[in-house]
Amino acid sequence: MPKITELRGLFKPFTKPLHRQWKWVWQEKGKFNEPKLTIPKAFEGRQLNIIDPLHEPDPNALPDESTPWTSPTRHPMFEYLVPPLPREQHPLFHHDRPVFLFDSKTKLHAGNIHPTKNQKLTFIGFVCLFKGVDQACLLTKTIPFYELPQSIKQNLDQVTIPNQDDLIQSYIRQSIAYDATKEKLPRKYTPLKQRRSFRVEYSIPRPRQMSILLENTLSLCESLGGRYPDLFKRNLYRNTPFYTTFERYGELVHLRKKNEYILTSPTPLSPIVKRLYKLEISSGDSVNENLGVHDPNGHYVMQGNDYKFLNMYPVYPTIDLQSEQLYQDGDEQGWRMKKSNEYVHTTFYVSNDELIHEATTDERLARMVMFAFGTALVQARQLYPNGHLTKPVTVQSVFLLDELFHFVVFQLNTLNYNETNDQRYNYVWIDKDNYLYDNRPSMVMHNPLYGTERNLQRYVLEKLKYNPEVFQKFLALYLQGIK
Amino acid sequence: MVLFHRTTSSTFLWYRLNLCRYKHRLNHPGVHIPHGVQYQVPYNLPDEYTEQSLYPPIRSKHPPGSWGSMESKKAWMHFELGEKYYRHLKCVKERLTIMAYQNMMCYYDELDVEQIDSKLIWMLTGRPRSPRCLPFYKHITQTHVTDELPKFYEQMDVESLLNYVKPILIDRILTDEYAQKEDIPLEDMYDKGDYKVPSVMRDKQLEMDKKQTTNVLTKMIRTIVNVLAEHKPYLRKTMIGSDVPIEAWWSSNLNGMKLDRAKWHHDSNTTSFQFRDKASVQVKTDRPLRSIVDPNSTLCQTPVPLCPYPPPAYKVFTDRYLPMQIPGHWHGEGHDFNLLTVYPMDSIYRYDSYFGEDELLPSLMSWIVNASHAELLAQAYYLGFSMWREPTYPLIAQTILSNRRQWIFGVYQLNTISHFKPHDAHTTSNICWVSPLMNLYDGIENGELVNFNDDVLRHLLRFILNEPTQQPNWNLRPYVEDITNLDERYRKFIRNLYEVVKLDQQDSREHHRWAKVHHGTTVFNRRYAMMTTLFKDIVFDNWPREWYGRTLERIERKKSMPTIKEYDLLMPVTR
Repeated sequence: MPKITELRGLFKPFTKPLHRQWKWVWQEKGKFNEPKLTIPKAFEGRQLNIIDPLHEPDPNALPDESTPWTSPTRHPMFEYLVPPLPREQHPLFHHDRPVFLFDSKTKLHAGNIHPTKNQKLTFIGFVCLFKGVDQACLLTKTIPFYELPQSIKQNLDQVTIPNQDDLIQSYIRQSIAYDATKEKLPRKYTPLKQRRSFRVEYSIPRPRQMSILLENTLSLCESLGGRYPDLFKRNLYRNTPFYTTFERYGELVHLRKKNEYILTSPTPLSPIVKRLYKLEISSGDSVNENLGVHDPNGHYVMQGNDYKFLNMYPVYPTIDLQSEQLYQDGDEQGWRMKKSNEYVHTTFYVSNDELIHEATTDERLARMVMFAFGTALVQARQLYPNGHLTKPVTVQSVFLLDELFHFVVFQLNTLNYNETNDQRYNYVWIDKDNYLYDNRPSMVMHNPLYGTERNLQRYVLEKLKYNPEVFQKFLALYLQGIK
Repeated sequence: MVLFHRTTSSTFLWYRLNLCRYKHRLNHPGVHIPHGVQYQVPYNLPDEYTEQSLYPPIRSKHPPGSWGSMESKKAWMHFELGEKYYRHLKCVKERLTIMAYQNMMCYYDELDVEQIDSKLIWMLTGRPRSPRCLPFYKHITQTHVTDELPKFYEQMDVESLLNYVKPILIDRILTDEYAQKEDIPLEDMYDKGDYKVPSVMRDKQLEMDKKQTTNVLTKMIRTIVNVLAEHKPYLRKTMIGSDVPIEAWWSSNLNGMKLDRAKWHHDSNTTSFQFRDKASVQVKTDRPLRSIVDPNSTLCQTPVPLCPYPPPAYKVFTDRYLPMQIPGHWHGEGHDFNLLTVYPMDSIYRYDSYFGEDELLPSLMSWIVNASHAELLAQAYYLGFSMWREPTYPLIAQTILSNRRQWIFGVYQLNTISHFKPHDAHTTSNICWVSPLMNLYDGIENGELVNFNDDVLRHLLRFILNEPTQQPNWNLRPYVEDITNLDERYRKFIRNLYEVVKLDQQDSREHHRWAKVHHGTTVFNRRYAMMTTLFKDIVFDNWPREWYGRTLERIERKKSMPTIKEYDLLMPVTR
């Protein structure tokens, strides 16, 4: 039903005093009348060449009049009366082929035992740490490492931009305090059932804050193009669709997402680990500590040998995914295949969570792993249509929520997810919890500074605690594939 | 009462005034004090008599400056207003808040009920909504318009840069315009059979076009800036924003026109205008651009003809609004000078703005005039200038209107902003140079741009390469005091006061304007009064009474009135 204020809006023309009514009519419907050419009677009979000083008559002046008026069968005002079309009648509804849907709201909670009355909460905090990532790894046959790969770590602090830290801080200030957008923000609320009310605030919406920060940062990275001209061959796509489906032990898993930003480059990223097969290096006493330095490939392969996949028996790992029949077949990367050489370099996942505690780090990382895997999968299928992967596919992914960055590097080694005996696994490197600045005021408990806009702006303008390492990592990831 | 009725003895009088239980009736009209309250005449007054009588110096008819035919009293009133403004307000943030407050001031009726009386303002946007409106915009902004760009742009050699940038830009334009797919929700992928209202669909399409324009232009300008960043360090330090709000307020003299709407409350011969628009892309630097002509040259003295028609003739209407000066960002960011501003001109082809091929160029010109003037005006306020203090050096803006395909370039030099003075008081005018309308490309066919026009790109590159003065040898902010040594509490006061403008609602009336629902007051007034009351020590010490706010106006200042003796010592009769 329309609200009373909306109804007022509908009856707008009839609720005003006459002068405002006239103003509205003139404002909305008023036309500027051209004075017509009137020929005096005395001139009528004569053969005079009369020149219209104002305008030539324009035969195409009003194209609307030529189109016939069709009666509106359904007016948008009464659209709420029309029942929505049932989902089964959607042309994309698959009646016989349900899939397990993984979208940007799905949470993987392996190990999250919901305590019943008799159970105690002890140890649960320790037990359920990173089980979501393990579940995602199980779904995608991936081995995780919780650090950046050695090859990227070596490049940290190698390249710097003059004044980079000052510039990033000024971007932070621009995005939070100095941008003059004044929009009504959603109501603030406190978690954990605290009853506190906050006044309505008019300021910069948070998606805009994040996009200002991210676009400026990306642009700063690109300003190295004077040194590395290949950077100008890259492309940035925004708000593109992405979906793909893969089969795992007879179950179809469908990944779907709107990609906020995708950076593509003309050359694919080189794989981090060149050797694909798990080596038969026994883990144990004979581990050479220096192996990581001399032979990072062997190092990762060996570490991967130690990894035990999550055992969820008797539960299926797809338990958290919803069954869905309305989906699109095939792979979608977000662009028409215009160029032959265009490879995904980095995807940027800009979160729209209202509070930082809306999801746990684990749940977010699990999503990142799934989508990074999906991106790599689509690219691999396009590169190797016969399904035989001859060279690994690598993609990077960056998560952004306010000041929080997670970096993920994914290497796809296999397209076969139906068996575990082929000794081929994917690898993912996760660098989590990078805070661009510390002590950001937020709405969570035990924080003396509540995260209202006012406090946020004062914090940013007066006591910002900036962490320069995050941008170095960002830059190192951005410059992968150059040189 | 009867006992003291006719007593004139000073002891009794003192008793009556200070200690007696009837002292509260002292000022009551029923209490008769014969001969008023009389104080003792001090005995030993010095001899003040002189041979010739002394008078204060005679004021000249007009205060310093050019005032034209403005009547003397009014001119002095304006002058005093400006003096007061600059004497009491140390910081630009304070001045901006006071400017907003003065427009939102309320009065109290006979029953002491507060009446909202925020002033009506003529609301302007960049896009003109009536044909032949250029004279109007020229008049209200005091602008002289020239048909071609200044000559010095042609001396800049951009050929090698052009050859380098062109393929990159073409590639990126095609990425956005052609290669990128749009994310459509599954529900919208088929026709639901509902009636599509053409006007609604047109509006939606327009919004999408504007968004696309913003994306493409931002990407183009960022690309050019990044290509140059390694060689031009100032470009890396610029602040680039997209979808940036630009607002400006000014009061303009009526010049004898009979118009009873939207008067500025200080002077009934003026009206006020508020400009509001959003720029697609804005590039700002911390150094000013070089002036294009000398402000004393004959070009700047070209008189601007009067436009005798009232604003509604050009579809400009009034609204209530908190007057604000925003040149793209809030005050305090270091990048105060314009380098380049781009507005999306997709909406110029709407039915109420498009009046045929002949009217297109004048409409675009008036948009450029209006938008550049507004941005520079707000910029001038941020630099400490105002209607009472003219800019001491000309301010330059480079403005572009574009819908990705068509481009028009404009350059604006702001020389004067005291529009409240009558027409004959203006000695200089603002100058605007506008290029013809050009096509960057004719269309997109098979993933290629048709007829890519290098000239447009050349113009764009020249605008970006127009380098600001790196070491200006004049004071950029002559009327801004250094507040680093100011009291900590005073600085907090300034910050809080400005946050009232920044973070609060425009106007508390959420109902529609024609419904007569009166809340007590506006949010702005409430918050303003709260701030002045919290910091009342500062306000009492530094501000005149008319800026106190609604709460503080009612609080009597508790100060010890000087005794007669102290009074004499403080202000001796001798001079």
